[in-house]
Amino acid sequence: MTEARYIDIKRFAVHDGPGIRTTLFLKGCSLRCIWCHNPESRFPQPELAIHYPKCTCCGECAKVCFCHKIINGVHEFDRQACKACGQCTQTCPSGALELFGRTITVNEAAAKLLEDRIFYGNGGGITLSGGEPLLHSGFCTELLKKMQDEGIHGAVDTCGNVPWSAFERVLPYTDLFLYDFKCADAEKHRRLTGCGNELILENLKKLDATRKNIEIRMMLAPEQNMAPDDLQAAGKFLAPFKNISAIRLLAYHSLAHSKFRAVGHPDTLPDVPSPDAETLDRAAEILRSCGVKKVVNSLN
Amino acid sequence: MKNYAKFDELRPKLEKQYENAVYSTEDCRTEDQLRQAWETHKKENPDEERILSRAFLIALILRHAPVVAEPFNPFPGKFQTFGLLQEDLKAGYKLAAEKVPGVICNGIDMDLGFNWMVDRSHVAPDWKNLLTLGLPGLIKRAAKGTSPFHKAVLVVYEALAEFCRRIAVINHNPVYEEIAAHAPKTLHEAFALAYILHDAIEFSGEEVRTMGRFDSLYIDFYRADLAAGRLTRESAKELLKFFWTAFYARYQGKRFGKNFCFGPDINELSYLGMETYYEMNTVDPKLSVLVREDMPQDFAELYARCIRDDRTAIVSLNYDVVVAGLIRHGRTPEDAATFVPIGCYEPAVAGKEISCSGSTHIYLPIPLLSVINSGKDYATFEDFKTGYLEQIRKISTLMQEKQTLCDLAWKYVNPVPLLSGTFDSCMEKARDISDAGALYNTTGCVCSYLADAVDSLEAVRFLVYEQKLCTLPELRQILKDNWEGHEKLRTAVLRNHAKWGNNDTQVDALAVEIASFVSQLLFNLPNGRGGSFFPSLYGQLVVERGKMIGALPSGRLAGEPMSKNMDAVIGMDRNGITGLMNSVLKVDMRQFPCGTCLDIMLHPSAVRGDDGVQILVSLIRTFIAHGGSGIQFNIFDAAVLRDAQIHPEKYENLQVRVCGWNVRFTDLDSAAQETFIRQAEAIA
Repeated sequence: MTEARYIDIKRFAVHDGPGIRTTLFLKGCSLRCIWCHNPESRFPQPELAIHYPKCTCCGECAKVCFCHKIINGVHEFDRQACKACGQCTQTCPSGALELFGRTITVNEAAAKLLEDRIFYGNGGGITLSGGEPLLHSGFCTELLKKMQDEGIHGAVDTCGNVPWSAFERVLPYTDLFLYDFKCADAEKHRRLTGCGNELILENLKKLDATRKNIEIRMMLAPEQNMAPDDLQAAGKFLAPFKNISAIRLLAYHSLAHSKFRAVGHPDTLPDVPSPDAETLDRAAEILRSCGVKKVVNSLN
Repeated sequence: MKNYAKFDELRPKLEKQYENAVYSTEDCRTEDQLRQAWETHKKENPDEERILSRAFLIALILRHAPVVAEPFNPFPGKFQTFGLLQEDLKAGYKLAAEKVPGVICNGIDMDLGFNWMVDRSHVAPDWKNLLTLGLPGLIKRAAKGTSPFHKAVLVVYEALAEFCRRIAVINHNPVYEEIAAHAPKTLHEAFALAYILHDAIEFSGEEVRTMGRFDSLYIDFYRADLAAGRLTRESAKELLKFFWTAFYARYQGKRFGKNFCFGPDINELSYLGMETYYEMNTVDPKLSVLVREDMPQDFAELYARCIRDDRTAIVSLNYDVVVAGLIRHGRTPEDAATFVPIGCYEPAVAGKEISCSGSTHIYLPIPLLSVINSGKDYATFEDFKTGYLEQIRKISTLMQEKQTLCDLAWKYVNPVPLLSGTFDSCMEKARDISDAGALYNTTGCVCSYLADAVDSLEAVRFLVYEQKLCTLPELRQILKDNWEGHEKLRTAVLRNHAKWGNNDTQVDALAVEIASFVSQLLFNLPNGRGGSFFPSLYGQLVVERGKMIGALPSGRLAGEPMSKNMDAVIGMDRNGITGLMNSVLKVDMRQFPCGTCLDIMLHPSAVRGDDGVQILVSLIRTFIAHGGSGIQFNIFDAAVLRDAQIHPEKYENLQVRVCGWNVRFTDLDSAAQETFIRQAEAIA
């Protein structure tokens, strides 16, 4: 049975596609965006997270694993030595320890997604997100097919930075692609995400040609990707596409600091404010002036 | 309609009309004169039946007490009772104690977990009869009978007609002359008549909780007015605002609120009413919407938009499920189809049923404590559970004994001829509502705090029988210690994921079993008015009762708030609202014909924009389509609530859905505010 590693299942997800949805977040990503909101989803392997604000330094974890030590009232953790077995999470009384990257089979995932099927009726469905779900294209294909067999609308939330073959596999079973667009300039893209955007833009063109329904999602962060030049370049690139049903503008926020700390990754979140609804409105205007049609401000 | 100033201009004055009321002096008697007349009457008729003496006093007040003269108000009618009706009500309780030995008219036993009372706050007249027959029709009908009951009805309605004529003169308002003379013909007359009867019944000591099905009761009047050019759509909205504000003025939004019911058949008045409700943005009246799958989408969006935009005093009820539940419990299909909620969520057959839905409560977690404290040993969890259910059976019998006396006492406490005269069955049987005059005479029993009971039962399984972390006697001591010194064990229980409200098969099965058991038990329990107990499943007064309930096996500390309605314990619905709804939908709501309700709290970001309205409609429709019944919403950001605690002046319009009614957040005491904030933080 095909398996994948996942970080979370979000129920009553109302921002991951139309209607009421359940979103499965898979682990592993091919980009390293500086503003990443889900740093626990970046690496493919399982990782232990320590939610420090919840930790009471009771020492229960240290009793089952040498990686944990409580020294002078401080929780010290040897991440190098951690095998991410998850045993310590069972002992933590305050819920401060969490293992990201448990494996789930297609059947198990399908069962979990189907639990909420009664809510998908009025235009909702399921969304596969991440991380980058298409790094698990075999898993996604089987799961989406199962959902399609059940008559459930399936969406894939992708950064696009995967071989086209991955898209080809899920295409027949996907109703909607939520496609991230970070910025049009390749060099800037590399600076912001650790990777150029050639493959991403190429895949978007190919996807458009398949006539699949695409919603573009632009996460906008001040001083990073929302200067008028950035927006005009994005608008010009996106205007000619035929099958983009909407361009949804999302606001950067810096709520993920604690998550970076929890999984021990260097915190790269830019120290800039979260744009408000008016700021996104102005961005939307610039995009529209480039001939882009349906721009949606997610804060309105 | 007579020319009144614009509603928006008059609104502040109308809302405060009880504070600044100026009463008439010329057409009435003084307090001394009224008291003297009343004393003389009692002296001359020492052995008069309670209903006749009550009728005399009500008539005396209606005919001769000062009324408010305020020509600016399209719905005047307040009067000064000088406390006479209240004093006589006290005398009624005294009389009941003599006539029904042993009766306690309002009692609570928190050791065993139940309460009982003479419920004077869940009635409604037969609105249809009132509007069809009018006062003259009701008077004519009463005049045909010869019984003391008929005489009492005649006396009060003739006095009410006279009261209308007095208002017509004092307030220069011909509408009141018209409703004294014939059945209402216009929307204004119909509203005025309904308001005046409602007010008179409330002054006579019974709380009228619903004004009936708004859109079907008034549609013909509205259409006739439009056709005759008496009203336009806009002026009808204006009239409705005046009408609804008359109800608000009574308690300024600090009580249970007056219910107006919409649906299940949606007509143009439904749309008009809902639009008006949006524009008014008020905590009182409150609405209930009877939802059927065929509800037009644009109407569903209209009322979902009200809820989304802070007008949350709206409960949705599943029309088909309620009707099926009523039929299952002995109503004919024709009768069941006409139900209205006569409290927060409690359905009763319109004009045929008095369910006294708030009479009794069983506080479900307490019998569980009784079993633990009994010292009895139970070898298996199944045995323990059986012991719990048997304890519920035991207290239900005790509750029945206490309540039966209350049922018998009502007719001495407060006969209500103003109300009973609208009921066909009362007129046929020549019996007052308080004397089992209705066709269906049930006694509500509210089964409360389901989540606390289920989580506690599951915790016993987890602690004592599965993990064997402690024994029953040890658990008894732990609860006595209020979990002090047992923090680790408490954390283990709290973190145990098996909790009501998470779509967990094993836990939800416990809830289903408890629910079926109590429903069956109560429905087979006869009451004192010739009917049976009438089960409902919701929990109110969560802060107040919580203070009276000790520590629970669920990990709840003594004094903490209880779970509301069918909700999970605060913060324990860890799988979000779909998990909660999936759990709740496993309970067959038809088992609780006297009402159920689920409260959903949402963060504003979940329902933002037009898409958000669709999300709300989806939630309601999904719940209804899968057998859910009552559902209502609060939409909060915890940070906003915190700010409202600090700066109440900035949040005068911030409403909260308490249980089946709304109040302003800033009117809540701090304990109740904290409870809402905790819940809002749990969903953030």
